[in-house]
Amino acid sequence: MILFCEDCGQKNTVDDHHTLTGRAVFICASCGYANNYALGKLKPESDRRIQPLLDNICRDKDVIGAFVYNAQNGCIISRMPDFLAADDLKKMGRLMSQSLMVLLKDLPDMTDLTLNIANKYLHSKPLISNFILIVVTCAAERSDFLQKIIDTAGSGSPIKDKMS
Amino acid sequence: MSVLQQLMQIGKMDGVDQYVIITEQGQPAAVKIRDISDPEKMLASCCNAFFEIGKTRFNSCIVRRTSQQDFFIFPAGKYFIGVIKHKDFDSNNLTQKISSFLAEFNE
Repeated sequence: MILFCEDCGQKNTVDDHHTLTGRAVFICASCGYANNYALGKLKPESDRRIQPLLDNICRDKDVIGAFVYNAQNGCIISRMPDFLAADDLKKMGRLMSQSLMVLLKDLPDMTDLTLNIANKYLHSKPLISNFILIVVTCAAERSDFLQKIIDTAGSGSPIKDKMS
Repeated sequence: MSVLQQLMQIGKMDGVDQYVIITEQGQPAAVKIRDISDPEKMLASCCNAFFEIGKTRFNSCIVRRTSQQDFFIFPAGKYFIGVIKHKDFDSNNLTQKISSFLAEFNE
């Protein structure tokens, strides 16, 4: 799985046994920093569903990348292109999360959001409590495709049940 | 007819149920919306976040709802528009219609 160094922000590919305790415990391959941080409340069975979910999503030719964001822990799992820094993903996740919360207050039956910026589409959708899936595509209408994959993975809608 | 008055014609478009228009500074310009308690604040908050994400002007935002009354956000010149669609109207169709309507304001 891919984890980011707390100190330098570099992406590290680590084996699953580095996260068995619910904490990311690994030495950064770039700076040598001894990382030891909580991965959040993602349960093992959810984690096992989410990783294949991202893999399935990223097989689509129009998908540029995808990641899962949590307000407490930032970017949890990423299949985003390497040129995007961890801080960029964290910021994107934070801003999308904030927007969802603002919208949810008055639109409690909202299910997902698609933002079009510079010919890219950011699809934002909740997975489980406090976790948000963000998928970046170069095609406009991918919500049906994403919904199908997410439903297969066992997540439903609307958002409110998952973000409270 | 002022730019704002022209933009307010969006209320007459087929598929548009309710709408709100705010200035780039987040001030309400036209509030024809019933289902949202503080629509200008909601719109301003989202538009600020969207700009931060892209570091450029966003083109559109679609918020899908189980009620089918999807909510759209569009930039329009020096304004932002939020639209709630009629539940029986196709979302993609309305998005294209609004984009075409607003194109001249974003040139």
